[in-house]
Amino acid sequence: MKILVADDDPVSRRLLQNYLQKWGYEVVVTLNGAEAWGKFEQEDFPMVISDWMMPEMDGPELIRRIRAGGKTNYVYTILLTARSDKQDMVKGMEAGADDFVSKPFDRDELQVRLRAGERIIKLERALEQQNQALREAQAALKTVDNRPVE
Amino acid sequence: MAIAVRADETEILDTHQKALRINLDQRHYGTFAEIGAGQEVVRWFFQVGGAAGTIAKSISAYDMAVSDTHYGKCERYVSRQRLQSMLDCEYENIISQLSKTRGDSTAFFVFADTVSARNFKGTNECHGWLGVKFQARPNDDDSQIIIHVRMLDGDNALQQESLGIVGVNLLYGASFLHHEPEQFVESLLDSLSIQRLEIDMIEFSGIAFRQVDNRVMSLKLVQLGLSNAAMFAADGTVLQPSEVLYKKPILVERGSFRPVTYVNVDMLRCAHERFSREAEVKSEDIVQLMEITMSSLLSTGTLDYRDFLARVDLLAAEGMTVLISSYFEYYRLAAYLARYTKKQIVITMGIASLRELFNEKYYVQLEGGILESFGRLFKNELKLYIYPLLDVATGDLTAVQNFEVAPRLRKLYGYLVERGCIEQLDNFNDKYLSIFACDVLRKIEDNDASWEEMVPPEVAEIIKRRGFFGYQPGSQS
Repeated sequence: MKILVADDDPVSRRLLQNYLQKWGYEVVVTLNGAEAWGKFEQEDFPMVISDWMMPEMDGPELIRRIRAGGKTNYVYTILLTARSDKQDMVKGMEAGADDFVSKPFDRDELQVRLRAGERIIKLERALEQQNQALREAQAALKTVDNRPVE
Repeated sequence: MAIAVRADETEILDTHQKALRINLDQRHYGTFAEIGAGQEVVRWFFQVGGAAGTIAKSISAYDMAVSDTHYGKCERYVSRQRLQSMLDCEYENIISQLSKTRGDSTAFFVFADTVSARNFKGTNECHGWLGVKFQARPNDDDSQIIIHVRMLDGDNALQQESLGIVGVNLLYGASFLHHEPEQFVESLLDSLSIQRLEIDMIEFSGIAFRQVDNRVMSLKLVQLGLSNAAMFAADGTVLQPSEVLYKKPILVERGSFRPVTYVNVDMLRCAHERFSREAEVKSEDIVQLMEITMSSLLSTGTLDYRDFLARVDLLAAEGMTVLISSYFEYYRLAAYLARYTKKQIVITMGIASLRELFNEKYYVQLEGGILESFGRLFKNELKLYIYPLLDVATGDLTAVQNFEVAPRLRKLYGYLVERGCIEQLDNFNDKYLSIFACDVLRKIEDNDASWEEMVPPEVAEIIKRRGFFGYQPGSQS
């Protein structure tokens, strides 16, 4: 699975990249929200991990754009943040984040949350495939219904 | 009555006995010049009897204008500079006035002090400079001992008393123990305790002390419990902490520096760069200290002076100012530094030290445990800058962002990070992360020359030239 990471802190970026690669993910790292958005427009990423505070474009704004972007596949987003204020959590959720990981992060917790995200993406993909199959079946039925009776 | 003795079984004389012995010894004769806290030292010599055998002159140029007339102008009256001018002026006077008549049989001395004892409101810093400039024997060149004291009694009269005692100890030591500097240092707090008086600086100079290394004597102060900290510059000059730290932003790196490696140097560089970006901190004002704790020096059970000097010489090669302290707990170090400055203090350390900091076993003696220690440590905007740790075997990096503490401390740790009390250094040099001082020592021992790539070239050169840490010349692969 390919994950887009946006974090302006070089140490956090490096730690995330190391962990994610060790866990078998394909990782693309970017230095801020604006660069991440540019990458996101060019490629498909089922999952995005973004820091909250970044220059040029912050995490919530990046997620808002992802949600408004109109890509068909669901994108699972995790905000990485040192903010623990409830209002901040609400703001992040309203922007469209699926989950939070607080900084400093616990490696095991991060892995568990990624797995949860993966499960949701897989479910969403499966659901999408089922919906597609249903749509195709419905279309086939319509074709049968519209045939002239002999 | 029981007689007090030292570890080497020599008798400890009380202040009265010391003053009387000096008075009765016909060789020692000189001047007492005292400013502040009364004339507490010379008073002892008048009181015990036989003062005519010791005192050529007693003076207290208390008025600033009078003081300036005698000793010249100076910026601060309770300072090393003023003490030195008093010693020099009075020494020149007594030699010029009396050497012709009794120089062949007399070892002249000048005792001087300039002191600020507790004022009526108790708002001032209670400290003083004391010194003795003397001839070890008649017609000898001069020698000198200077000390700086902090007076800790809560009462002016008690401070005066302790000053009188330490002054007598100083003159007695100069007269009778100058050939045994270590015993001399130990004797300075005879009839006193560190709860009453702390000696945080000592400097020997002149012909009688040509073999004395002032850095070792500074270490002795801490080792013997006369002071909790001592400091010296890269050139070996002993420093009085307030001269260096007063109103300055301070950056401290603690380590064993056995030996100083590229990692130590890189950590300090990174921390300095980051500290310079803090609001209201001017890069050029930052005082950098490399701190070695007594517990680090005693890690093998005994104090090895050669090993100590090796570490310090290598730090000197990097131009570092060294602080020796008995403040194993960081909150005590922070309190010590905060005495001298209201500006920001930063302590930089590696992940291993951060792990120790979060070990609750160090705080069991505090009623508030780890919370109390952190409350004390992080006041006055103190920050910790953390250098990352690389696990060479796995390639895993540990930094502030993924550092793990005991589950019950996680929220506390998170809070300190969020508040900016603990910050990750991010401008470190990647290629130094795999360097560990213990590997350098092992490689030196194994005659593996690759250790030279792990330390700055000037450090490698000194280790090789002086055979530090068991280095064997000409045998390395």
